[in-house]
Order: sequence, then structure tokens, then C-alpha cells
Amino acid sequence: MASYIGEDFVRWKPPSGGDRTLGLVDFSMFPHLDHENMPDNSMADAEKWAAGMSVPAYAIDDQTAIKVTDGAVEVVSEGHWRLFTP
Amino acid sequence: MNLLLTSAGIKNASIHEALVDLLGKPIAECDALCIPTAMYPKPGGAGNAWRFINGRAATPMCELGWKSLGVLELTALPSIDEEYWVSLVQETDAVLVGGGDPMYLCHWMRQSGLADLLPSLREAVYVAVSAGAW
Repeated sequence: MASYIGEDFVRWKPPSGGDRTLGLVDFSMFPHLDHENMPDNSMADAEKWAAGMSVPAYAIDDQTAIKVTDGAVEVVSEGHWRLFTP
Repeated sequence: MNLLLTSAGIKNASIHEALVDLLGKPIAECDALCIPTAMYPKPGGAGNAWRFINGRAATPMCELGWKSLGVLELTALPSIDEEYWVSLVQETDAVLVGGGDPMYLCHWMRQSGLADLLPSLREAVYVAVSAGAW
């Protein structure tokens, strides 16, 4: 839904290359923050990823969601998350 | 189109409440279409797709008690007549997008024509897990 995801997250490579996605929202996100089975998803990893993003970037854990209502963004969480601004 | 972008599905009461708020009516009165496509290019994709569709994944979405549920398989859409799926998407209350590989999902959203259709959806809520939310 974001306009790009960051090259670090590209696994399957599209024929056209790159990391562009649909761009239906003007922020990016980093899911599974601090997941116990995902050692590369720490807050430090999220900070590094966010440093390369030119749009607001939300790092969210599995107890968090981003609700977009008529373009307005609201974070819904029973866990933890962080917003990085470029 | 309104969106609920999650990391791991409808994991708790707050996220559930946010979903019902976006839908504007109880889940039991809503039709939904699920998209398992993002799962295929990752290890265990076939089993993960089955668990997602059957509401047995660790990312609650399909098992929430929808009035009706269908599978929208993006890789199939370019080869079938639009009349069989476009109106279905236009009339659904929710599109449930499973996680997996974000670039693969995006590629097939474009190839299928769903990417062009999504912004025009007025009623449907886009509900996604992980790669589906990216």
C-alpha cells in the first residue's frame, strides 16, 4: 500500500526490478517489530530501515494496526510501535 | 477506500473494534473476499495459503465470522472474464489480504487489474497482514 518498501525487504524480484509498491498510502511500514522468531526485526533494525525512507514510516508489532479512514491515519495498539519521520 | 493495515491480523479487541468501526456494521453482516496470493513464493506457501483461507493461520482474518467468504486468486484473474470478478470486488464489504512476499503481491495486483480497481472502491475496507499491508 505504500509507495515503496525499502530494498532490504525485497526478496521476490519483480520483472521491472526495484522496490516500488502501489502507493495507495503516503507512509511506509515495518511489521513484526521485535518478533521473537524474527531476529532482524528489532527496533534497531527498524531505525536503520527508517533512515533510508523518505516518507513517514511506522514500525509496528503484532498487537498493532494502522487504521486509515478517509485518508486520516490512526494507530490502534495493545502492543508497541514507533513513528519515524524523515 | 479505507484500510486496516496490520502486522499479524485481528490479534486483539482493539484491532477488532477498529475493523468493525471501518465496516460500519457487524462482521456477521459483511461479505468478504480473501487474497492468499502473497504466500506462494515463500517456503511453505501452499500450506500457509490453506491455513489462511481456512482461518487456521496465526493471523486472524478469515475466521472472524463473515457472512460470506470467497477466494480472490490474483494470479488467475488475468485469464478469466472480468464479469466473474470485478463486480464481486465492487460489491464486497472487505478485502482480506494475507501476508507473504510484498513485491510478488504487488506484481499480481497490477497484472490482475485489481490495483486499478482498489482506489475506486467506496464501501470496501482493505484489511491486510504484513506484506499485504506494505
